Amino acid sequence: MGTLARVTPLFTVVLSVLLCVMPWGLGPSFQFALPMLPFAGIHYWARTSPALMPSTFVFAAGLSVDVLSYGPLGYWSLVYLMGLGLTAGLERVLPDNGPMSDYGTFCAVTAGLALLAWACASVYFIRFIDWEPMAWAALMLAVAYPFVRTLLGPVDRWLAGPRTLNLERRT
Amino acid sequence: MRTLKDDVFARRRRSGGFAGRRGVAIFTLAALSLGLLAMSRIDHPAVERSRRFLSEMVSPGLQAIAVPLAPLRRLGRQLVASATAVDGMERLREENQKLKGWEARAKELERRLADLGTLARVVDEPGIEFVTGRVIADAKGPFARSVMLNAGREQGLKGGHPVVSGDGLIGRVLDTGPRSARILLLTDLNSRVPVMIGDSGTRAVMFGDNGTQPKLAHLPENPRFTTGDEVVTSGVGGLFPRGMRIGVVVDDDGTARVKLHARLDELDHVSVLFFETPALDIASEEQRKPSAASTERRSTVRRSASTGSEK
Repeated sequence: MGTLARVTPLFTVVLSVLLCVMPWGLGPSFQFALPMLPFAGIHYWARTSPALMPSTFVFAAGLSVDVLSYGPLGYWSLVYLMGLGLTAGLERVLPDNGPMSDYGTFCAVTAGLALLAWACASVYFIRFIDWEPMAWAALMLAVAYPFVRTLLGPVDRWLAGPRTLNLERRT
Repeated sequence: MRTLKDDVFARRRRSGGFAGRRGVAIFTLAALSLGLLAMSRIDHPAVERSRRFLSEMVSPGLQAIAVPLAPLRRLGRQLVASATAVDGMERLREENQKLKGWEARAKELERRLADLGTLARVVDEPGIEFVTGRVIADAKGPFARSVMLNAGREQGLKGGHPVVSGDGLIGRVLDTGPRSARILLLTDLNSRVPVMIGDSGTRAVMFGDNGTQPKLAHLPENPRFTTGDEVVTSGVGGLFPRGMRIGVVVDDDGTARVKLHARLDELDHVSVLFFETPALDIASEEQRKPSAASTERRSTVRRSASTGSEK
């Protein structure tokens, strides 16, 4: 179970990376929202089990999105790492006492992340790019997060369950 | 102690915020990302090599995952299609009526062209071979507008080959791996296509700007075309065959843009035309270096020409 518990969070993020680059035919409104989707998984695991979401893996996930979306290498890895940094920073301010607190944290991090992603892209192009798609992407990600949490929650509980029983038996 | 280390409470411990070792790791990797971003900005060859290598590694995984997810993709497309179905039906009915008229005219023109071709002894243009592949990845985000195809060098694809969908031109092959290729779409910031507009055949260049409708530039002083005129490739420069349909002219606050016939966000199967591009058929640096023998031969010819003995 130990190996499975360690691998599962990574697997869910890899899966979301592959899903976000697939041609879904969802229209231009989703152009920015889909590459931000893996961050929902990264945030969830970084909040619940930080040790299982190493920053090197977050970097690799971002790099994979860069390669598959043919964007400049380092952009999405930088965005995801900044998001991870914001999550870790806000964790100290907002206590993890339930889904609402987590959702609040996620919304705050996503808003900051969209702003940083827009700023990075603007610096790259040396001109201000359109901010509306980024804002739209942040909004869509905020709407999607409860679903991601609902999907990952049972997985997390299932992975944590047997070890809790093991602890109870020993004590 | 091992149990305590592995238990659920230890697993949910605080990460120590941004200040601990985790913070240092995040900062270091963010700096590395910035370095990579800077290298990408200056188009460093190492970036391109690593991208090609990684793309080739990931493409089998994408192809494998695409098969079980095909019903979901279809569902996504149907949802989008159903949202615009009412307008679409009306538009299609009108287009169908127009096309029936055009069909009769086209048949008549085809017959006349064949007669004239026979009279003028026009040499038939050879047909263009093609290969059809499936789109396995779609670029998203603020940068490139491109798609990845599940066909590559092994299927005969080369950089510069034009790519079409059922509705018209969508772009050209940008980069090829053994079994995958990257297609640069017409809407990409780096896309430039010489075009002809309407019945007047006005020449222009279609520029992508990462939006949904590329703009028309390098127009003549008094351009003779209106909104709704057809835009086709002009064949100038030899990058694309002449006459490939692209879209229609639309007015965007005084800027002429092209509404593409192909729906670039709904690409599934596309065809790559094996159109050999004369513009890209440039000899390599080694081939261009004159050998000793050829230099001598050329100087002999030049000498002969100057003395008039070449005649």
